[in-house]
Amino acid sequence: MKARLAALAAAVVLAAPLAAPAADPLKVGVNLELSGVSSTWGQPQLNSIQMYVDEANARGGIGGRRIELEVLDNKSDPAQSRLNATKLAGDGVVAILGAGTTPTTMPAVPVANESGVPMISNGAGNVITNPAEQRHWVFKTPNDDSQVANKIAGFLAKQKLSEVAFLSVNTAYGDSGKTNFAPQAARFGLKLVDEEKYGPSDTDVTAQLTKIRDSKAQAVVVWGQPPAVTIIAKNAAQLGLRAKLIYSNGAAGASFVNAGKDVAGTYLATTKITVANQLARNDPQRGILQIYSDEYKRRFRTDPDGIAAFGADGIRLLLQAMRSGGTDRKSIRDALETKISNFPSYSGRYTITPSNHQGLAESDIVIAEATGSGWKIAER
Amino acid sequence: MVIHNVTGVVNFAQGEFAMTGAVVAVTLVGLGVPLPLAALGGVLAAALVGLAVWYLGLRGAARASLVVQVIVTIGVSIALRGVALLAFGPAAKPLPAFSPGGAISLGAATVTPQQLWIAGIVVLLMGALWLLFERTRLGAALLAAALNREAARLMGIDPLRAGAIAFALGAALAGVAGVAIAPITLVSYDMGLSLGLKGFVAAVLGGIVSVPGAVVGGLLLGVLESVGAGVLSSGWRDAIAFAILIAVLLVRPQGLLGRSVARV
Amino acid sequence: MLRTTRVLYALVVLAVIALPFTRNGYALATMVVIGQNALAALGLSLMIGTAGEVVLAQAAFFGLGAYAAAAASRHGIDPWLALVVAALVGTAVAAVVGWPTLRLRGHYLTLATLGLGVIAKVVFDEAGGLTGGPSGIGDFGALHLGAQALKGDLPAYVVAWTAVGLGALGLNALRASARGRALRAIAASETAAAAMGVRVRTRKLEAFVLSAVYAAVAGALYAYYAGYISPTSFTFEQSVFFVVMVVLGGAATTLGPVVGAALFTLVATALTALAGALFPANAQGAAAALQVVAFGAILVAVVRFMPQGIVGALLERFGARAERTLPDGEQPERAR
Repeated sequence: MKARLAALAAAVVLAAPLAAPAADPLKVGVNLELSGVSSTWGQPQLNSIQMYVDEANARGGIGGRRIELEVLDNKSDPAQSRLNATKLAGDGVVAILGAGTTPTTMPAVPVANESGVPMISNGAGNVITNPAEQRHWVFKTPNDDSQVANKIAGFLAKQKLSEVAFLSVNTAYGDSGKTNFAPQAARFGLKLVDEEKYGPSDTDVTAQLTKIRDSKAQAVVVWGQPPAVTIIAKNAAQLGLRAKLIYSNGAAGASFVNAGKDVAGTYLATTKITVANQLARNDPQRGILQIYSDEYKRRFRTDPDGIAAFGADGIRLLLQAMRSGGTDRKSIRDALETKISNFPSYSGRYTITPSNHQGLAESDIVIAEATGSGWKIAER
Repeated sequence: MVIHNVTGVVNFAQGEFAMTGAVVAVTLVGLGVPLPLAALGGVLAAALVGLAVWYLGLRGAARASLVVQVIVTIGVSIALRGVALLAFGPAAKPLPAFSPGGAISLGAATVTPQQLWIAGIVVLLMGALWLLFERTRLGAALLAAALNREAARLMGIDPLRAGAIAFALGAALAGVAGVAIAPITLVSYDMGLSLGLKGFVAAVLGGIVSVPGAVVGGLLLGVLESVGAGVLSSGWRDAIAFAILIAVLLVRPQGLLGRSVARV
Repeated sequence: MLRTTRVLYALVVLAVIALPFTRNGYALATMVVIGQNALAALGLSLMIGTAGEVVLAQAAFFGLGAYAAAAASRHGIDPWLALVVAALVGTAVAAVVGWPTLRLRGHYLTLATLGLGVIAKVVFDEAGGLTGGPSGIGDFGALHLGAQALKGDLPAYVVAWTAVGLGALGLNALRASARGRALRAIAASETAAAAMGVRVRTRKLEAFVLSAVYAAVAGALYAYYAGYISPTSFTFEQSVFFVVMVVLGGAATTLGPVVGAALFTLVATALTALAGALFPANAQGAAAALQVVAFGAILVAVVRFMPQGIVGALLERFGARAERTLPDGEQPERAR
C-alpha cells in the first residue's frame, strides 16, 4: 500500500509540470481523409497540422491554453465527413480543420453553419466558399481553380502555344478545372482542339494522349492529381508526344514533384513551395517556406508538397485568428474574416474578406518547369 | 482465375494479392535489394499472403454459402489494404523498369521494353499453366476438385489441399502481374481495387474456367477499352468494359473461348 | 411471431423512440445515417436472404434515387412528391436492367450486378447535365412541413426511421405471403421451384425491383439530408457495404438488416473514435490504417463464425429456428 502511494505521489509530481497551464485546453477538430481514396490528400495535411500545434504548445499555447487536437478520419466518405463534423461540433471544438476534398467538405458545410463552428477546408472547389453569404462559417485554403486556369492560359498565350488540348481527371477536381479553363482560354484567344478525361485510378492514359497527338495540339493542360499525373508524363514520353504538358496545382504531390526524369520538361502551375529555394531574397514567403520545409523533412523524412502546405496554411490561419481575435467560435470566425490581411503563408499571402473566404490571389501561383532534377521558375 | 477454377470462390481479394506483390517489391528495392530478387520477393510474399488467406479465412468456409465466401474475400481485401496503408503509406511510389531503354517504334505504334516484358511473362505463364493443368497429375487433381468436389474426394484428392495450392498459385500469379505492371503504373496501397475489377472482366470475357481464355480475355479487354476510349469520350471506358461483361455473361457464360460447361 | 423475435422488435423500437430524448446530437446524426442505410439494406435482404442471390448494385440504386429526387425537385416538383419520383425511377430502371440480368444466378449474377453498379457510377459521372458530373449537385431544397423546411438531424431522423418501420412492415407482409414462400423455394432450388409451378424469373424480378425501390427511397432521403450529392458516395465499395450490413445482421430476418446497418456504422464510427482516443494525434495516420485492418478482420470473423448473422444467431440461440431460412437453406418451407 505504501509503495503504491509513493508511486502515485511520484506520478503526480512528474505530471505536474505537464499540467502547468491550469486553464482548459483549446479543442480543435480535424476532419480529414486518413484512409480511403483520398488518403494521399489527408495524411500529409495532418502532418503539417500536428507540426504547428506542437510548436504552438511548446511556446505556451494560445493565451496560456494548450491546443488539443481531436482527429477524426472521414475515410474519404462524404457521409462520414458530415458525421465527423457533427461529432466535433458536439464535442465543443472551437474550430474544424478539413475536410480535405470538395466532395467530403460539402456535406459538412450545413453542419458548420447550423452549429456555428468555423471550418477551414482544404478542398479546392469554388463551391466550398461560394456563394459567400451562404458560407458564413466556412473558409478554404487552396486557390480557386479560376485563378489557376487564368495563370495557365496567360502563360500559354505568352508562349504562343495557342492550340491547346485539355486532359482532366474524372473527379470533382478535374471537372471544376474543365469548367474554369474554357472561359479563360477564350479570353486569351486560345483554341481548345481536344478535351479528354481519365479515371482517378487509371494506370494507362495512352489512348487519350494518342487522340491528343492526332489533334495537333501544341500544349496539353492536365488537370489531375497524383499518382496518375506521373503516369501521364511517362505515357506522353513513350508516345513521343511533342506538345508541352502543363499541370494544374493538384499535381503538386510529392510523388509527382520528386519524379525527376519521368516528368522532365513539363510545367506545373503551383504555389511557391515547389520552388522555395529560388524565390527572390526579399520574397516574404521565402523565409517561412524554408523553415517549414526543413522542419517537415526532419520530422516526417520527406519533403512537404503543395498538398501538405494547404494543411499548414489552415492551421496557421487558425492560430493567427485565435491570437488576434479570441478563442471562442465566433471570435475566431470574425477574426478569420477581418484580421487576415496580406498574411504570408505557404500557398501564398492570404487576404480574407466577408465576400471572399478564400483569400489567395493569382499572383500566389507560379509556373515551374521540371528540369529533371528539380524545378525552376518559368514564370512568376 | 486459378482460384475460382479450383475452389469455386470468386475472390475479391485478387487485386490485393497483386498489390501485395508490387508493394513488397518496391519496398525491397528501396532497401537496396537488386530488382530481380525484389521482384521474386514480391511474388513470394503474394503467394504467402494467398496461403494465409486460405487457411485463416476460407478453408473452413469452403462449404459455406456464396454470400459468406464473397464477404470473407471482401473483408480480407479491406484488411490487406489497411495493412498496406500502414506499412507503405498513402503516397504512390515508382518501381524501376526491368530493363532500361526508351520506347521502341513498331510502325505506327510504340512499345516500351516493359510492355515487352509483360507480353513475354504472360506467354510464359500461359504455357506453364497449360502444362500444369493438361499434363501433370497435380493439375488434373486441381481441375477435378473444381469440377466435382465429391468425386475428386473419392479419387483420393483432398479438395482442401487443392484449395490451398490454388490460392497460393493464384496469389503468386497476381503478384507477378502486380510486379510486372508496377514500373508502368506506380505502386500504391489501393491499386488493387481497380486491378481486381478489371481482372473479373478479363476472366469472364475469356471464360472464368479456362486459362488461355483469361489471357485472351485480358487482351481483348485492353484492346476494346482503348478502342472504345478512342471513339467515345474516355469517361465511358469502364462502362464499356462492364457492359461487355454483362453481355458475355448473358450470351455465353462459359466465355468466348470456354468449353460449354453447364451453368453453375 | 415468436417470442424472441417480438422481444427483439420491442427493444429496437423502444431504442429508436427513446434516442432523441437523450439530446445527444452526434448519436442522432449517426442514427440518421443508420436509418437511411437500414432502409437500403432491408430491400437488399429480400434478394440475399429470401431469394438467395447476392446483388452488388445497391449503391447504384441508392444513388439513382438520390439523383432522381434532386433532379425532380430542381424542376420544381415538391420534395415529398420527389420521393415518389425516386421510387418510380428506381422501379423502371430495376425492371429494365433486371429482366435480362436475372436469367443469371449465383456468382454470375453477382458479377453482372457488380457491372451494373460500375456502369451506374460512370453514368453519374458522365451525365453532367442531369447529375452535375463528378462535382455533384446541391441546392435542391429540403423536405418540409407546410412552409417550414425540415433541416437538421431530428426531422431527418424521424423521417428515416418512419420509412424503416414502414419498410419492415411491408417486408414482413411479403415474406409471409405466397410470393415470399415462392422466393424461398427458389433460393432452395430453382429447378424444384420451377417444377412446382413457381414463375422463377418473374418472382425474382419482383424481388429485385422492390429491393431497388427501397434503395432509391433511402438514397432520396440521404440527398435531402446531406443537401449535396456527388458520385463518390455511390461506389462499388458502398454496394459491398450494403451487402455486408445485410449479412452482418442476418439476411433471413427483417430485423437483421436493420441491426446490421446499425452495427456496421457503429463499429466503423467506434473504431474511428477509438483510434482518435487511443492514439496521440501524431499517430492518427497509422491509427486510420489500423482501423481499416480491424474492420476487415471483424468482417471476416463475423461471417465465419456467425454466417447467419447476429440476429440469426440470437434467434437460433433462443430457439426460434422455425423462422429462419438460410440462403443455402437447409430445410426451407415448401412452396405451395
